[in-house]
Amino acid sequence: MLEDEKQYIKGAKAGNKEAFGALYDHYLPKIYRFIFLKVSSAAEAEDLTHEVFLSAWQNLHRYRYEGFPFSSWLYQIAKNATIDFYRTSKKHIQIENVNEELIKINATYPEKLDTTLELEKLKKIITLLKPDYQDVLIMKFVDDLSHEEIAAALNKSEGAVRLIQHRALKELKSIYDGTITHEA
Amino acid sequence: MEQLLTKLKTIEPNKEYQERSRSLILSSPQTTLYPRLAGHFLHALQFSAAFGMAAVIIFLLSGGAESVNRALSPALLSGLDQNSIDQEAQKLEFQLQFSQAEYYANSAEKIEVALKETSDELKNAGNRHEQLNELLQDLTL
Repeated sequence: MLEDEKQYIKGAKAGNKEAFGALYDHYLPKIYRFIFLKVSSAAEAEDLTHEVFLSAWQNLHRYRYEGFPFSSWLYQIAKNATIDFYRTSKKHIQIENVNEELIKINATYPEKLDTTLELEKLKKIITLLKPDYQDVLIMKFVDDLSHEEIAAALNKSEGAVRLIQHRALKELKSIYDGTITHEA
Repeated sequence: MEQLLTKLKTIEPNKEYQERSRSLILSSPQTTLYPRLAGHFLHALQFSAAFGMAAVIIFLLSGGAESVNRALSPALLSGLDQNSIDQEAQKLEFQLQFSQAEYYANSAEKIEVALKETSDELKNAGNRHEQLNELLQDLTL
């Protein structure tokens, strides 16, 4: 959570561009990563991230602080934006279209992970997971959100988030190790 | 697996994109609450108008208009009530009969006077005729 976040939000609501700029600078990388790992290209991630922050700027008067950080609200917008994106573009990644080599990645991944290629493979595997699994894994392990923040962003209980996280990790590991055949 | 995922934190947006997007967003107008409230009010107005129209249509289709006509038309639209029209027609007929009787009464009086005058004139004429006859007889004698 950004220091003095409430003050920035208050200022941004009053039309202070610098205040919103501070929020933008702080949350852009996280929201961008969240979207980038759910879509197929950097260009799509950039467009959607821009839409998310533009929507946040234009609809900031709707945001009410209810004990959860501003990030939860941003993630809700980002999640809806990606859902709309897939609904309109129909760019679903089907399991049949994924390179078989990708599914056969074995347990030697730590040594290869530093390469861009390995990150790209991991990204593609994440897109094979259910949307809820993707959301929880990205928010928890990539963007470092707490279970409470994730629960607020996804409109779920903390218990449900922990359960989804457990199942998502299990499924991710299964696909990564190539031990099961993933069904889309 | 968790450690593997944390490696994805290295993903960063392009700096040029970041600057461009930031300036575009901040240069766009921020919507305020008041136009939105006005929008909500107009939306509510449209909804209530549509709801009202639907209610009127359902009311008409269910025969409501006929019952309203029955209940209210004698008071508000007496011209559409058959009974009141008959009563008015009867009153009109009575008024016509009264005026005819009055006319006949007046004209009878006048005729009587005229007849009396005529009979008087005839009497006078008869008297004159008799006087002339008497005068002629006196002259012939």
